[in-house]
Amino acid sequence: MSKELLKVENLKVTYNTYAGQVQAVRGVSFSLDKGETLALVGESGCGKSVTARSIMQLVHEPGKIVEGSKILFEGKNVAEYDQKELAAFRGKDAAIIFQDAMASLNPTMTVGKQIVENILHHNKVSKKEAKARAVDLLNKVGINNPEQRFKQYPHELSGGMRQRVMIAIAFANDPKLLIADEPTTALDVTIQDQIIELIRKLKDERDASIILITHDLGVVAGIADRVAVMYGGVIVESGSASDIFYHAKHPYTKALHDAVPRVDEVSGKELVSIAGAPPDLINPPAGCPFNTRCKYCMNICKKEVPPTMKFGEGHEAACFLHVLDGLPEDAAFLKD
Amino acid sequence: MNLLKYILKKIAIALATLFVIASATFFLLALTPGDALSARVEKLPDEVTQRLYAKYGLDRPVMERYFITMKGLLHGDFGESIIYEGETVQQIISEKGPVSARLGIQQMLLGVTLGILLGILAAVKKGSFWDFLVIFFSVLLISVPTLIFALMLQAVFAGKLGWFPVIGWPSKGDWLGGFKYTVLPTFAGCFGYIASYARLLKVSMLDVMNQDYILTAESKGLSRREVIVHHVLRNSFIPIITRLPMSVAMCITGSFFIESVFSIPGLGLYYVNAVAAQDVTIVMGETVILSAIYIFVIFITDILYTVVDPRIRISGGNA
Repeated sequence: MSKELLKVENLKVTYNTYAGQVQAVRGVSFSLDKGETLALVGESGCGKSVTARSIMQLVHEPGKIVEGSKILFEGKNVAEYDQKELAAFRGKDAAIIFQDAMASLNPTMTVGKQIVENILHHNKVSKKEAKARAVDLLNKVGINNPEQRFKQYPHELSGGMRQRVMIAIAFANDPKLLIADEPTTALDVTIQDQIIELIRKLKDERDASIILITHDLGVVAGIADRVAVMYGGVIVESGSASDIFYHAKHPYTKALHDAVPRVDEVSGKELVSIAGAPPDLINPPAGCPFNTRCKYCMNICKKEVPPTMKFGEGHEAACFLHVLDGLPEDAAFLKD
Repeated sequence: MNLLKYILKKIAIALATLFVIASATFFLLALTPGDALSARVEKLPDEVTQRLYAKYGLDRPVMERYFITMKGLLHGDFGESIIYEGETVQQIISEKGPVSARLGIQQMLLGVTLGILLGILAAVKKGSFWDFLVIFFSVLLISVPTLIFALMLQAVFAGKLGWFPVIGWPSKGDWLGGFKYTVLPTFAGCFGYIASYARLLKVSMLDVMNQDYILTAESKGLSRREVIVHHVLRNSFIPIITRLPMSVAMCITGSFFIESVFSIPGLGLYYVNAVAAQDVTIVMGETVILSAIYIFVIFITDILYTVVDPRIRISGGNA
């Protein structure tokens, strides 16, 4: 048996808008092993959330997963699941948590009921048993007085607690795959660490796989085994966490690192940003999506889509700089 | 404690509102040229005219009449009708009110039920032929005046087909036997409810369906039906709950057009006649009583809100 849990092949998602068809995801492929944590990073609008939702088949009108996209979960294409298979897959095999826990919880239903609902849907247990399990889950995700919290509504909890409730819902049926879509973005920094730590702990206990979506490289460093960097609806570089952090091969990955402010830097130094704006996905640029902002952009980058180059075990980047015999002098830093 | 303070505040606001409404009604009536007696006294001798004016106090200055009227209101004494001799507002409302209320409630029950069902249909089948049909008829029903529908129904179902009586109303206490008299007026008046509730619920449901918590519900593997029944409906009923009590309050005021077309002895017809005849006591009395009912209903709405939406609990609980 392979260790592979999920394989996404050539995923394309489009959104029909009045302005035109937005190509939100333009051919994304990656795989995820059992027990592995993959981080999808990139700036807003690069297609990472849409990729995550596609796996759960949660892309709704006007969005559409383009035919031919494959999302293989344990070898079976999720896109071809019938209603019954999908109902069993969602919430049991795979679970998802979102950025804004307040908006993600039903405001007129007690948090306990929202957890119980997920348990009852996938298990043949009595309501009493489901409630006991839900209280136990609340306890496990670090909520004090779980009996009392069970009866409360989302607005009665703090932001961190709400996200813990979302995690409790997600882990209610021991999913094999957890998709966390920017789970800490809306939270205080101190709470962020606790939430990431909680997700990691639950994942280790249950041997789940995680797809973590974030634009926070600090969060990535703390939890990810592998990282895929997305830009303009495609993955531009992927590799192990150390590949991405210490041996970045794509100019965009490198620019992302440079944009992270460092504590040990001289104060008063200007913050680094990547000049320009992300590409317009209604009319995506020809060639490499990063060509408009890349310092090392060559003529070919504006015409041809760069090939994916391999650098050692599982480390890939799509950039023409590496196709040349020797790197141009000003891009020599990409060598190591 | 909090709740008590809240209620006291509401009552104070309600009394102030009633005072303003009563004063405004009084002065607006006083400003209109002529009075309730002017048509009647034309051919009477001066002495009789003077006595008549003295009887109803219409010979006194406006401000004095204002204070007398307001003092009467404070004691719950609205005075005697000028055009219908010997009748008081209380008598009139207790006699005509139930007629208008029965008609109004029948219209509302039918209209709101159909409106909600059609609204759900339009939202669930969004973009389909059904959705188009519901919205098309909603716009049509809202745009065409009630009077037209009343006359059309009368012409077709009473005139041509003869299924129902043309005009009339069941006598007091006759609930089942006279039901056939109520059918056409009920239908004529329910279209407005159907149209507004269908559109209101559709918009609200579509809004709720776009919320993140619906994605969460779907991600649990719930079927579309379960998502709609357990997560969408309750949340999308909040705007319905706001409008419902207002509709109930509207019921008792009666509909002038429908009551005229079907010769129904209800409040609506009576009220309009009283305004036309400048029957100050009746207009003042009805306005104040109906306003008080409206204000009470709005108060109930506020309480209902907190039941449906736990986020608006007044006392704050122990969070």
